[in-house]
Amino acid sequence: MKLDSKIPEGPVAEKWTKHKLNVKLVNPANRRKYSVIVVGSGLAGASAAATMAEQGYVVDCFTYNDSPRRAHSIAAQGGINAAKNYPNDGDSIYRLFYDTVKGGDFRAREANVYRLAEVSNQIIDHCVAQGIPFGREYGGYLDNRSFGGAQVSRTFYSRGQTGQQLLIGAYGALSKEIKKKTVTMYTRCEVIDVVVIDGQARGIISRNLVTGELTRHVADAVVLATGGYSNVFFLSTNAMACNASAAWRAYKKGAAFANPCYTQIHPTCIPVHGEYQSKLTLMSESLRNDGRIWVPKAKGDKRPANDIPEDERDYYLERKYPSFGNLVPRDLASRNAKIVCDEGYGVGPTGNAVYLDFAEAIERVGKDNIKAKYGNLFEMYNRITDEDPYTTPMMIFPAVHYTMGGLWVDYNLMTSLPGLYAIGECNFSDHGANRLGASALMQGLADGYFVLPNTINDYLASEKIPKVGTDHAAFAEAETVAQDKLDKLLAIKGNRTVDDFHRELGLLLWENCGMGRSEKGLKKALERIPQIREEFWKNVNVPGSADDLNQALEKANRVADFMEFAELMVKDALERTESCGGHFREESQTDEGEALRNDDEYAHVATWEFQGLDKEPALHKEPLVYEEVKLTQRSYK
Amino acid sequence: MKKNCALLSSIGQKLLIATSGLVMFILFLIPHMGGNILFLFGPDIFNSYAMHLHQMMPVVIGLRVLMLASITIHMAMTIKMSISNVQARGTRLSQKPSKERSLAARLMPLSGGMIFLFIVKHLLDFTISPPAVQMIEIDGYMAKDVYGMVYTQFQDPVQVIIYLLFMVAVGFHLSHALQSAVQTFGWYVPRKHSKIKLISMWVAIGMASTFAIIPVSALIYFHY
Amino acid sequence: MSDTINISLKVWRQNQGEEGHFEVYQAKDIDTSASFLEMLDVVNEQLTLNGKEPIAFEDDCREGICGACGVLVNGTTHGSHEKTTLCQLHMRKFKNNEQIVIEPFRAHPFTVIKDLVVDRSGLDAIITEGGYVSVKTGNAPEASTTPIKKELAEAAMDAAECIGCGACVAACPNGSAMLFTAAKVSQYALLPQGHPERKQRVEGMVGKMDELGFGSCSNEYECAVACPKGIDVQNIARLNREFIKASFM
Repeated sequence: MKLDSKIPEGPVAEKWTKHKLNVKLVNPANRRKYSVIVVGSGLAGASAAATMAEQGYVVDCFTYNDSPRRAHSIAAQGGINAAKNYPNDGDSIYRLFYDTVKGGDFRAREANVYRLAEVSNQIIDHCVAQGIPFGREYGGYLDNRSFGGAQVSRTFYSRGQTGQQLLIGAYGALSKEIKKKTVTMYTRCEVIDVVVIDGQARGIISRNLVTGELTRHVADAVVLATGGYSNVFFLSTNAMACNASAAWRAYKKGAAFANPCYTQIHPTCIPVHGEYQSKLTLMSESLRNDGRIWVPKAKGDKRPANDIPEDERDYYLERKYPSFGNLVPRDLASRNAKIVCDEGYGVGPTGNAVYLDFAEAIERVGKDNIKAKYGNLFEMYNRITDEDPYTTPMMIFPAVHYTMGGLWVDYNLMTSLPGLYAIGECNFSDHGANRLGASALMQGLADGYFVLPNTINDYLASEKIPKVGTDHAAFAEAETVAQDKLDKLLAIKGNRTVDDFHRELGLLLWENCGMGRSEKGLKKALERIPQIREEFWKNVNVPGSADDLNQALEKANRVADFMEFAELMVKDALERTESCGGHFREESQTDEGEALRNDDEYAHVATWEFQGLDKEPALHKEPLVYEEVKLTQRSYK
Repeated sequence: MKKNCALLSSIGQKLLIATSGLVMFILFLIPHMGGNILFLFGPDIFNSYAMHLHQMMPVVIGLRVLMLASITIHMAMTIKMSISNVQARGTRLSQKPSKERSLAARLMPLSGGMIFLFIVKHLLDFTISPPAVQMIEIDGYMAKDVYGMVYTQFQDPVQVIIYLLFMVAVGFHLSHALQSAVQTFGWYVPRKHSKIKLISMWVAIGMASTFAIIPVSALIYFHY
Repeated sequence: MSDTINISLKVWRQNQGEEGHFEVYQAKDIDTSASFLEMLDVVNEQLTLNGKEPIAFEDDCREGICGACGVLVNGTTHGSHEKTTLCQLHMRKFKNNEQIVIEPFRAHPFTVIKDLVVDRSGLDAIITEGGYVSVKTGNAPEASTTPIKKELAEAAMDAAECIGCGACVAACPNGSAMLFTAAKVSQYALLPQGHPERKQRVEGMVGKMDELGFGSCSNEYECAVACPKGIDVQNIARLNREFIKASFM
């Protein structure tokens, strides 16, 4: 496999403008002769489908939900970054670019990140024009806040529901095109496979989740906007049905998968309560602006938090990182929470939690001020845990939240499988080894509104895409394979539920491929995953039939893919013996226990190519060349 | 949307109901209440009012036509809307109403129906087939002793109780209707902690009680 | 910190194309700190292992924002904890040995697909008729060109918080989608971006609402009580006014 990133020549600031001039265009009158399938209707999928339809392409858009508006982009709370520099605090496109590359621990492509920063301003313009109610100041102008430890205020927000508002904006744009019949929307339809004909992605097999019917859809290009794979861990902040299936099927059809080991673990989530727990709830990391994180100094101290005197508390982040204190980046905050809990200092019924205490802040600025800032978060915490954070310290623990890895894409966002594109969280491109707060929304919309609609022409105009119908043998074959797999799952009727297997897999990954990873643990996981998978295929119990709404079957089909994907993720983690961003390898740390990057050997994108079910995947390395940014070791001491 | 289509849309129907209701409220119910109060001031004043009203027959007829049209629209639209609302609701087996939904709101069809029956009865009693009425002389004209007719009618406690029951229906109907009309016309009233419901309720209680005073006073208090 | 309770569930079961009925299941040792949907997960695991079909219900984000979940719990949409979606309702709100009645959201346009899963695509169809600003990507002027009064932006945001769960329809004695429609119409009536299309928007959305067989508003405000996001019925007044302006002025 040859990986050509197609990064344009020239200075980083001019690459995108130049590239837009160089890509081939499709004549407006001819665009309606081209059809594009978009899988997913989140920020990236909905915005891409709408924009391509505006340009004249015939678009089919698919979502497993009953409405495009339910995609998990909706859950993003904090905001969206842009380099507008409205607060006049020294922000610029270059600074946003630099911060993102540095925040990604120098494992992202410079050219892509610069483009992201460049189009960030257009996103805000567009969203305001769509009538998205961003927070405003009394003068009527847009307000910005500082987010995720950024040195400038560049985050636009709609209360604590920015993702919701942006998604509804994109859903509105999509609805506008549905009304014009330029987009055909397929709801409650899950994509089961990608169909490849003569080396080009030419369509999909989808399953109607209500009738169970498998249908074939042909197009000139296929776009995957299917989000991340956090749910491989079973417990994550992702929505219940978020999955890696479409991306994984694409991988098995020839699209390379990049950096699968890069996952982000968010430090401020509500801890796990019990075995029945189905998902984790994230609370905005803005809480760390005023809350102080601590654990008791004595191991296994079971006293209620308020009974532990001040001098018996260990404010471990303030102690270890005096200059950043509680505001260290996400990866450090998460990892340190795990360290203290592993050592036995954790609190709460499971011992897997640390305190986030607002007592001092309430004393300093008053309860009303704290309420004004965090009232909705405190309310949410209270609703879930039945505890009052104004009087008792919150308990928090890290949770899997976002995946920076994904399908490998070139500068045009095309995967290594011609005609197949990946946008949003589904691809690997912009966040390197760690994503900064308020950047996910920016990337999803950048890809969907501004990048893909400007690059997909290049493929459609220049490639020979022969006419094929859904009667092509490749469709029939993909459909048969999909049907056989569903039938097989239903036929097992074993003794364990799908969730039971998923939970076991998730826990294994969390322990061994979570916040801290070691060769020993990863090898153990690598040994165990195929065993779990084998048992899954022998002993899973999927009730019901394949010809109606069967949520257990949907779940089983997704978990079956996670069982395969998990192995690749662990392999990638094992291969990368350095620590970087969200990936902390215990063997690679400084004397002080901080992450140690190895730029000489690992300044590359680890890209995996499928070789067959029983064969080792092939590793291809795309070197990361830094022309603008000087690589430095992060320090927050 | 064409205007007639707009009128037959769900919001249009509501507007017709609210408008016809308000027409009856403003052009009929309020003046009628004002006239009735005069009963408390004795036969001379009340009979004089009745006579003057009689002398303005063209206006009265005009109002009667308007009332008939309003009642027809009000009821026709309500029935039409209620049927489609029942269809839209579907079958619910376990649903419970919340505290927000007042008794008045829930009883609107009942109170509305009662008011219709009352109007029929009221017209039969006093307009269409009134009992034999004495003629008296007022300011040199011969006029009906309307006061006597009303007084006689309400000497029967059964009639008074029936009348009062109907007034309860009027009160209930108005207490939901008034604030509902404000909402339907889109006059902006901040709803949270708003007093509109309370105001609507007190106006309704006030009007229904005022109407109720007449039979009660006829029965127990005034003897001219 | 957490206790366990035993409950019995009276759940609506319905297969596609068949009549539905209630079935009663016992759920033992349910942790009170579990969410309502996690309780259903536990029940479903047991049903599966006993060779029965699990109860189909809708959910996705389980953090109260996607709007996918929602059933009638003891006769109340999303359960009786105010401003809370079903996924954020917790079992500590229930008593030991309580019977919980679970019924799908009911309204004529919400046909039951299976068990507790209903078809709410009518709400999307209403949005399709104009619940957006028709701006093409690339058309937008610089974001700060038009200042917008903070109060208006906040009121628009209040309306925009709607999650499209359909509780308002299911709680309305008339199966009306007025609060849902009003929230979207209000958002764009309050913001200058929405003004060029306000006439087409309100007519299109109300027309579609009627066409799909949603009922009309009788101002009883059950919708606002049911709304897990606290959308105010003031928005319905605003919708009415937009409609009057569009149709008669």
